[in-house]
Amino acid sequence: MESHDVYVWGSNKFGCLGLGHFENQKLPVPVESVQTTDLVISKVACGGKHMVLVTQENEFYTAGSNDSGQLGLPTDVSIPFVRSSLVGDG
Amino acid sequence: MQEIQNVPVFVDEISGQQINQVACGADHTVVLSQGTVISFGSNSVGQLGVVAGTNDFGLLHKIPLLVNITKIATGANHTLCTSSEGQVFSWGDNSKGQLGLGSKDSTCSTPTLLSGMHSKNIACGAEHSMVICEKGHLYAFGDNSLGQLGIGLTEPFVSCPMMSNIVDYQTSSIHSIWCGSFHSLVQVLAYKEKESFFEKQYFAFGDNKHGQLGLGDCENRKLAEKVCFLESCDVLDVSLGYNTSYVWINNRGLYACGLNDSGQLGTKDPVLSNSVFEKVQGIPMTMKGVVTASSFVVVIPQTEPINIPQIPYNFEKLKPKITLQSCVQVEHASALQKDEKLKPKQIAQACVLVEHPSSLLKDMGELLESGIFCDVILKGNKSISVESKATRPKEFPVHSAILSCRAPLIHQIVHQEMGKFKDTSRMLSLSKHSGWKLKNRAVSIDLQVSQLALEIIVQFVYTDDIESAIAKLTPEQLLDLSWGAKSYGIERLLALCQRRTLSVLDVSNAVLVYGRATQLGLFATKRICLEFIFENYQAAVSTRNRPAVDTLHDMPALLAEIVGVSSPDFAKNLINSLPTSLEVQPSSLVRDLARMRSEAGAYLNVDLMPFNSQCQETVGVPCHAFILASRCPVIRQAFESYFGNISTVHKRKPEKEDQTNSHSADSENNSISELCKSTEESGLQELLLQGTTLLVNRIVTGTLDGRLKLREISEASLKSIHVFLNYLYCDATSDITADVAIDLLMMAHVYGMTNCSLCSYCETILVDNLAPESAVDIICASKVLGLTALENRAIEYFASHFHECLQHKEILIDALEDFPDLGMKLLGCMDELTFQHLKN
Repeated sequence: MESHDVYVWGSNKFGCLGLGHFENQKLPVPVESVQTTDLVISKVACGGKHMVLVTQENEFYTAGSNDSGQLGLPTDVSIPFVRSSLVGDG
Repeated sequence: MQEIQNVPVFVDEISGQQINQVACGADHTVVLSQGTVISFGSNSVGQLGVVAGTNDFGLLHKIPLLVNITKIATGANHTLCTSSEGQVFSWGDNSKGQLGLGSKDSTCSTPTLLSGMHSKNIACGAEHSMVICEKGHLYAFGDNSLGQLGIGLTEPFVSCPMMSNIVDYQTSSIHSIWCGSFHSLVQVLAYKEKESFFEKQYFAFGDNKHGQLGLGDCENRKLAEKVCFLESCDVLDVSLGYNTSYVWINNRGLYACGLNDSGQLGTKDPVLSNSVFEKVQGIPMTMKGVVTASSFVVVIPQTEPINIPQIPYNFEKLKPKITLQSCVQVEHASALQKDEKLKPKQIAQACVLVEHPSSLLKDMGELLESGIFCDVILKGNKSISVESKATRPKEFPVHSAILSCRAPLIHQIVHQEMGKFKDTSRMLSLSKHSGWKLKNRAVSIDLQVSQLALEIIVQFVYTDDIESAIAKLTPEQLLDLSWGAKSYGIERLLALCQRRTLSVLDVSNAVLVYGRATQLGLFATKRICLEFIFENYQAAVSTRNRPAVDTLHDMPALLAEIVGVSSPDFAKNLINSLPTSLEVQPSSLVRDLARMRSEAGAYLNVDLMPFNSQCQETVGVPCHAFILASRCPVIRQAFESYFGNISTVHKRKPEKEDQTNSHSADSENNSISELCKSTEESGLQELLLQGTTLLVNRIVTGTLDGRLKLREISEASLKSIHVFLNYLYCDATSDITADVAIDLLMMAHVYGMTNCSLCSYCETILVDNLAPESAVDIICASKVLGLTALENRAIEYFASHFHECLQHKEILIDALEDFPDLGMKLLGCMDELTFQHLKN
């Protein structure tokens, strides 16, 4: 079966690896939150302090610093990744 | 709101619409969605491409006007995008010129089109940008402090897109580009003739402090260097991050090199950096992925085919030949490495051509003032009122040639007067033996006008510029001038006078002017007065109006008419019986002077001969001595040294009665032949260096059949001489070729006319028509003449059309022989080796 895992590693000072912590990652690890859903990530972009993932269904996810609004989050309410999949299912 | 999200969060606002590409800068995000561009994040230097306030934090901006965008690329704080038509737009930070706009503005918050680009692909480093254009040519701009543009220069940054000569574009093309923070990697398709296939090659350049170029060392590269590791590898994907490089090799997995301070290389050994590609651990061998990196790395499964065009760009020539071009190209690259003579920014300065205004009117005015080579003296012997009877009548030296085309009726009188002499050529011919003395030669004509009117008429004939002169005239003087203009058939002057009369009329003088106009037979003026009197009848014809009463007393015949005007019907009939005043036509000075050159055959007294013709045999281009003398300072000097004083006599008396030189008639021919000889020996360049004194002595070569022979000393072609004369006569500049323009510039400089409008015109022509075959000639000519702006423009052209220009190597070789230092100046395109190569 084809793997849909997304692997990340490197600097994690701003949490842009999306692993739920801020520790640098010296070896590639699969992103757990992607693994637990069936989402297929088709596009990715890395900024200085943030990351963007886009699924095949054109769902837009971001992680990392939002100090300049680069995550595209306009309000205080940020929807956690896991909840989004629930929204998607429901 | 949470400043930092350490798990991916769903962004509702943008989700759901089709997302074609995402790119991130240091603090901003750009999304490509169905041909339009959406941006959000920091806008500190305009990187969002919209004018947004600080309160817009977190808002998504759809950038207006951008449509049909196919690819986006982000640097740290700038963005490039390209449209389906190959246009390139850029916006954001421009502190290093990374927008390619050529401007010094440090930011640009609206997408700006890069002109002249037809892009196939784009990429951005932190502060540099790259564009692959049609035919696989690579253009680079922005930060180059670490050599990341690969153009070989040490310029810290480049703000205009510069074509990079990494490869020989005759046989290779740039296929793909990737930019890291301060380094770059290109994929080249090189045509292998023997095997008839395209070989993929990888070249890296720029920052290599941490070994991120994968070349096995940590030295920065200003010129592209082949990455041997990637040779014969089947590279699926590449990403360059912050001081790191990642390549995905088919069947082997992901390899990385560069900085490892955060473990971003994903390798087993905890090294701080690695200058050779090493395999990233922990990714399943079966995975075919896409890699994206900054200071961290994300690998996602490959869900769609990697969009790399598989068909190579069309090469102009598939079968490469060893040409001068390709040799020079390689040497060009090495020359650039050695020294950096190419400084486009410096060249761009001082490229502004100076516009000189036309000097025709000024020259004509001076010609009249100085009376050079006059053959007619006009005198006004008619006095109105008590105007200066005591003083001797003023004389106006003029030229019959000019009269013939500008004032035909006066010319007729002159012609009749001249006919009284048996030998008419006496007045016209110029000969050294008799010298040139106005008193002896000119025919004197008395005209029935006042001196003041004559002065204005003459001024009008020469310059057409009399508005200020007639503005000062009294109504009486104006009438006199009108009469003069009418009697000698100068219609435009008459019309101007009539227009002016209307504005000097008032109730006190209307009847007086009416009376004088009747006496002089100026019917149109009379009509103007009559209309005025009709409208202001009470005031103009009142018994308390002394001047009116006096006039009517002197001219009783008018009384009936004036009284009759009180009846509207009578007035209407009377007014309608008079002719209307003339309309003021546009000045015909230029046209008339042009006609003088072609029609006034009788007065032509100079033959201007091309430099190479034998002075006594060939017939040159006929023209008028006074035109040459008035417009070319050097030729005037030549006349003066030949004839002595050629100027007017009525202002200052000739200091010496006889200015003939020590030359006797016999020795004249000898000296001419000597002059001819010496002129042939020395080139033009030396002539220019030797100054005008020597030039002056070489121009006049003698007389033949009463005509003066002049030698054209700048070696211009016959056609150029004709165009030059057209300019001298009437400022006419027709469509000219680059060759002629160079000739004309030479002539203008040789004859001391450096600030004439002809020069400006020629320079403009040359700049507009720069072509590979003429560029070098123009550089040489402008060098000789000291025209820095033109020279810089030509050099600039040469630099940007280097290869085309080199195809005309004979011209270049000739030029290099004349100007050995030119080779060095040509931008360092030309090092000594190449010079020798060319010479051989």
